Amino acid sequence: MSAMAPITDANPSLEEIEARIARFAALRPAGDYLDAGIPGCEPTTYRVLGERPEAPLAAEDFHLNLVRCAAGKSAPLHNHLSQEVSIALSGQWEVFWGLKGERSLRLGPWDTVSIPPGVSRGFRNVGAAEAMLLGIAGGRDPGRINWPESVRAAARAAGVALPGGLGRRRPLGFNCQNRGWIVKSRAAQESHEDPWRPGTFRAAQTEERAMFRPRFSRRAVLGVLAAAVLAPAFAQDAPVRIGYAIARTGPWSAGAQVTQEPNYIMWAEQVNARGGLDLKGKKRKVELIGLDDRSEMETVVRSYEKLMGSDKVDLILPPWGTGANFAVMPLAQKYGYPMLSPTATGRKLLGMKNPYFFALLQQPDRMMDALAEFLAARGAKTAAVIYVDELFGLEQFAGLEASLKQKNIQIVEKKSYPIGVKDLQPVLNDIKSKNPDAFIALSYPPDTFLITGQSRAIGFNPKLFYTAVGTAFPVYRDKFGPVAEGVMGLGTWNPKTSAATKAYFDAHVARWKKEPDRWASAHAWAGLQILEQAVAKAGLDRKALRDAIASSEFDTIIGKIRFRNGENVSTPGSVSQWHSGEFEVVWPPQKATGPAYYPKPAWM
Amino acid sequence: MAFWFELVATGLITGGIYALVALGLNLQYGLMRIMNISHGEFLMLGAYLTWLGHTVLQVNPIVFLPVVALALFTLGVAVYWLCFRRIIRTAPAVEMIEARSLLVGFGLMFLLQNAAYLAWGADLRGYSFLAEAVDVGGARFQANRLVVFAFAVGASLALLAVLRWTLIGKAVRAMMQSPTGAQLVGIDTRYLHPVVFGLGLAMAGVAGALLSMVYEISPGMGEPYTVTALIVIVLGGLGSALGSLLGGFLLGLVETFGMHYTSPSLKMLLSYAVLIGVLLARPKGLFAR
Repeated sequence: MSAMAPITDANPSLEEIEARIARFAALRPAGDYLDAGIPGCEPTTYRVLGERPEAPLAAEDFHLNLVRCAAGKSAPLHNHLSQEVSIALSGQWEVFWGLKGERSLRLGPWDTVSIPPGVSRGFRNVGAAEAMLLGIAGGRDPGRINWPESVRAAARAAGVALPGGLGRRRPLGFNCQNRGWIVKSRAAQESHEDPWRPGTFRAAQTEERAMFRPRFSRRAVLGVLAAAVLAPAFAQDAPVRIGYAIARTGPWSAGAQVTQEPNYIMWAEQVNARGGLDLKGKKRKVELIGLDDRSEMETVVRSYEKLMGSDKVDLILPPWGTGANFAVMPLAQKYGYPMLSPTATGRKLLGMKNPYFFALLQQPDRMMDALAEFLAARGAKTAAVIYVDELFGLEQFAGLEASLKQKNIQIVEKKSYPIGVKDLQPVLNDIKSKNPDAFIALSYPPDTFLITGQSRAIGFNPKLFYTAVGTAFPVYRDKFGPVAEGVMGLGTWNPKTSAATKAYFDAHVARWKKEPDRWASAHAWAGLQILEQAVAKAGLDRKALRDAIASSEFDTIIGKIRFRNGENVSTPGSVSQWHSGEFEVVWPPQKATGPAYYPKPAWM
Repeated sequence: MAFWFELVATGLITGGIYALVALGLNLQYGLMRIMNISHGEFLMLGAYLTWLGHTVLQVNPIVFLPVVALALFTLGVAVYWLCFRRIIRTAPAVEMIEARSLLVGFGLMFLLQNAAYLAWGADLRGYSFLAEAVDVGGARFQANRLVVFAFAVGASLALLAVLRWTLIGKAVRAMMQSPTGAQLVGIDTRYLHPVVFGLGLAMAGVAGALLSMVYEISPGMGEPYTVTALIVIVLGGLGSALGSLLGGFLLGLVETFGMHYTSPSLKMLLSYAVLIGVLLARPKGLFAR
């Protein structure tokens, strides 16, 4: 929160304020703008706020000049360290930019343009009469003026000496931001485009990396950005800032970096390539502000507090995992940010009745109902269950227990285990000796692998073998190969589900050189699609946005989605099974992409 | 009977894995008092090297073990010269070595972990190697776990023999008891110190290489192993090779029986209960001299 301006008892005298007035009649043209000597430019500049004594008033927060140009004359391309805002006071002006000033737009009286640091810009009086322009450069120190090579060449030709960045008499620090920009602009010129505001923090990073990596075509990357800038860059508003914190390091990162963040980045890139995010018909670019939460709950909470409370981002995207989402939910409500969570599941979360929370995954009872229905349809009578000692495992187990009871399937053994356990053979041996029809492990990623490997080793091969999170990850198939055949798990989709999922799958593989997981990845993408459709309808008014999400039906890659009390009530629970390298949806029948093995074939 | 055999064997195999993890740290902390808290990260490095060797170069992980050991040994000597040499030289007492090396270890930990995140990303990695079941006296175990077990026992006994019966082992023990005294009797600690430290890292690397056959790997995998290693060497007595082997076994057996009779969720509780019990009865560990 910014502080409110205090009311003080300062009450300056008439003389004191008169000393803070620059009377136009008293202004004298500045003689030290060397570029004024270039033929065809010849602007007359009056300093108003700046360094004293050259300017009558001291620049406390910004510099301000008045520029007068005869018809056809201009202020040539130049750079500042800070934002420069120019207002046409009279006549018709043209603002032009780029290294050669190759792009331009018209400014009429009282039109304002805001130029970011690093862009070479100039102004030309294109009207028939003399005209005035007001220029404001932000900061106490807008830096020494710098000119691109085209202006320097013109100056040389005219015999005007433009020193290496010495525009004003007093050198005021080196303009280093320009350098970075100019390098980028040159790269951009090769594709005749202008990658202004590379879509995201990470997108910008990967773009830079791509430039050093030959197999990733620079042209392709710029091409994506190219389409982003078809509309004139400065006619646009500032980008829509979307913040999130997610695990890039620590134990959660294995899940977060498979399921969630790659989708965020890919989505932002695609949106920007389409010209920006559609806000009620007006397009604005997207800028992601992604933070690493280091898999720490405190960091998650602190990061979102900062994003929503002090950075005041326009929108947020959720963190990874049931626990982290549970922790952030109250903050989202406090600050009024809708949160479309693709990796949070649990009745406990929905029980909070948080109007800003929307859960995209199927709730545990729905997933477990589907599993129990499948078992009942195949005539299974007994099941053994182990579950991870985390909110996820407890919620799923509660759902499963109720579902199995309803279908009269007896639970012959149930045990919890801690995440990251190194050995479960004794437990698996006990369960094997009880010979259940179904074995269901409500497990998390590292343990999912352990359970599979050890069950195979002791020859525990029940008719149904089910492991939860991680089974849908491509690494599961890559590690186990044919051993995975017939293993069941949490899954919603695969590339065969629909043309839309195929397109998503292909785009993901092309962008990341790795496959998305067959469960929550598609839900993460669906969440981004919903967000996009909702802001097109409601804009960035977050209350209206929340209402739009709560009350509409959306088209997504996993089918139509509608929320009731924050729950996705459209996507049915489902069961998937590995079949020759694909995680086939095998239940419910109307969603199935392939037939089911039951009983499971013997371990390879 | 077969049931008991299986339970005990499972416990011993898990214990063997714990002992293996502790081996390298026991050399560094147990014998040299260098509290290398980044032990698990070097283990992770060994695991990633093996994974790369197996998936990119298609090298058999067991054949690759000497490569990993050599790479980590070289790295260890370099790390010693860069980070620990000054600490050892300037520390007025052995306790100061512990405290100061702890800080350096933390730095190395963050450095290595984040370097791994940069290089390989956060994804879980894994490959299948010797995952087939082997029949041992009616019980079935994954072959790779048996390899780890055999290696842990073999390496522990070898270390024990070297320390107890060879001249170089005596030199190492002497160096730990009194660095100045060791120098007086002609032990060149300038060479011995980095070599023992390097061997410790080589052991960590080999442990990581073996574990990569059994478990999935990720850049953050190291920290829990560091904790396990500390428990095991404290349990067994600092610097005692036999102690850390038996300490690992004890921990493995307690966990396995606990898992059978109670719940796997109580695993941590049981492990720490054993540690506290041993420390109460024998504050210097089971096999401390």
